[in-house]
Amino acid sequence: MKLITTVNGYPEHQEIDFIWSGYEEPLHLNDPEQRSNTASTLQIEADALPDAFQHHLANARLILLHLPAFTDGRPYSLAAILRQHHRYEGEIRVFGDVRAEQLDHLHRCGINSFVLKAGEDAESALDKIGYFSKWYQPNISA
Amino acid sequence: MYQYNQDDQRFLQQRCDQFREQTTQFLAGELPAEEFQQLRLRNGLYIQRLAPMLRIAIPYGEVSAKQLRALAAITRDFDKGYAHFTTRQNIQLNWPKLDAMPDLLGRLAEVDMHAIQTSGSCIRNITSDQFAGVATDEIADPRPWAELLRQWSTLHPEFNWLPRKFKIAITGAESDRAAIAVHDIGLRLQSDDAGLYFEVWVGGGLGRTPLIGVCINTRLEPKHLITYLTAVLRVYNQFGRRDNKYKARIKILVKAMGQLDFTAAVNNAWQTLKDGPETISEDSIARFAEHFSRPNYLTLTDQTPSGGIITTDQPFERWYAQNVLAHQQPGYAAVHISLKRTGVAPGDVSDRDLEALADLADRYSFGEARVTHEQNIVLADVEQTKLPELFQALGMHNLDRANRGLATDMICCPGGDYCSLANAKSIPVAAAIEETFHDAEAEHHLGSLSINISGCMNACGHHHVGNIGILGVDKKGEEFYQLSIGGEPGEDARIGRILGPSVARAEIHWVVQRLTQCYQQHRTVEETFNQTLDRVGIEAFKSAAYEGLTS
Repeated sequence: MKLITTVNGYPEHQEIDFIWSGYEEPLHLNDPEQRSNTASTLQIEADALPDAFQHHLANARLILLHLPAFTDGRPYSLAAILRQHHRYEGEIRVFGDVRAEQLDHLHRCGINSFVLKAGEDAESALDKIGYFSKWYQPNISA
Repeated sequence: MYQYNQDDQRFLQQRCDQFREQTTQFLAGELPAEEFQQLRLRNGLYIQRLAPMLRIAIPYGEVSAKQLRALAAITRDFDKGYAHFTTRQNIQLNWPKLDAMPDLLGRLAEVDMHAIQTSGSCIRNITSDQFAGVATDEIADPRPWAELLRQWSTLHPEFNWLPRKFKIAITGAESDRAAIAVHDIGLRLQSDDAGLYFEVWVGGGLGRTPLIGVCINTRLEPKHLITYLTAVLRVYNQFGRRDNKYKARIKILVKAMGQLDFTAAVNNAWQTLKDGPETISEDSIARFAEHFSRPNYLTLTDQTPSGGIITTDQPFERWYAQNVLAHQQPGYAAVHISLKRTGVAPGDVSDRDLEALADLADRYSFGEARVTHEQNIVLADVEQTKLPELFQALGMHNLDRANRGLATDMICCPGGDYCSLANAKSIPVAAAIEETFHDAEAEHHLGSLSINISGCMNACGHHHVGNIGILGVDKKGEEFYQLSIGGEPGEDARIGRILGPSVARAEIHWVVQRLTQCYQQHRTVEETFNQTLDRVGIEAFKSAAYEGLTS
């Protein structure tokens, strides 16, 4: 579990190899020639369809998952699909409108790294995980 | 009914603590208003016209005498001594104060009650048949499944931020008293030679775009219920529209994708989950079922007013005929208690009413009561020989009205008197109609009729599925009402058709009366309002309704 704080709540972008959004072809940020055999970092927008990027998951070492608004539930399902359907075991790092109050649910969907929105209290944020001693659903583990 | 264990109680306590911290942070300016709004909504707290409104969950409508007494005390200590039963079998307080809310939720938790997910874009209270476990047409008791779903949906990590609210109803009887076809998900327990199974209906709903749901699985093995619903919710969470809240319900997605493609998407998502860790074991559902075992019934034989029950007077016989229902157990009856009373808003109860209901539940029905989605109360397990005594006791509290399913048994939302969404008031309309049909003799002669009133198109008053539906609309700042007729909520669910131009508040009860007169004039013996409408056609009702109107 990792907590990352940045000035604006967004991760550094130069490391990213691909960005998926909706039905679009992926946006190649690095030289596509090199992409096949090297471990890569993927960025997934909330409207992305997992089928579109599943071939790249085998090489992925880091998935950056965008939470566009704290009320947007799609990244929760995307994380669950990555873990349960694609058996992705690497890091899923959520960024965007990530607030301390949401860390617990995000974590329970299999997200194991968080870039907090600017202004959120980093110290108390991790205490939110495990606040409840019981849940009514199994957690999706990272 | 379901008994909380220590883990359940600790969970509820932690939820209260969490909300107390969030409220403190908000009041100190440390939590942004737009974020606190979402957090308070998921604890049932709205900000209404005049004050906050708290919606307290009554899971599938089952409530104990102890809980009713606690609710009575809470209405006194935190509110103005009354509350309102809703069409989702919940209860609402109209005047609580925000800073007192953590204490109020703490008091609810003392009696294993809460307001979790009674609002917000998440899975709402699970509703069911008020006669679950006692209905003579029951295939299987839906309550163990309803409780299982309540637990599964409570703070579900993946489905707390859906595109829009999400309502699930479940029935286990031949007659559908839970209106499953107008829910986001409707579940119907059925059985055949191979055992129990669920029919899964999806995409029904009222509101701005009323639609009857479609059946996407005609035979789901019960053990797959959670994994299958997870798949449905996952597809909705991913693909439901988030750009327009009026197009965000699952019904719009089902319609846009088409039933076949939607079903295929669900099945695709389900393949990952099916037979996984959330598959329901027989042991697990048996543990839930233990909570709903039959009470300690006495060995009795069936009695009627003409044989066995000592009848005292004619009002009793009328009440018996209208409000007493048959029961699975010989010698017992289910009793419908009307909350549609002269001078009281439909579904409203005072603290004294709540205490009276608690006492009667203790004395006559194993300490339990049920809330119906028509905003009434049921005592489900009453000895038939005690019915005259119960009737007398109800009379002392103005709870003895014999109008179940009749014209004055209206479903009515709080409307413009309380609700900030409303375009028009609904309680005064209900009052005017009540006055029109006040004569019991005439009302009984008219027979079964559902009149449903909503103050806006969000349709909390289920106007689309009333035989006569009344919808409040705002016409240049004035309150007008649009009428629809022919709606039906049950197993033959259908949406009413709009009658014509909307009418002013002062005239609405006359129009309703003329519609009923038209029905009485044309009906054959035993024909329902909708059957007459179907046979005669809408035009006859239309001309009757608008004859001589001034607006």
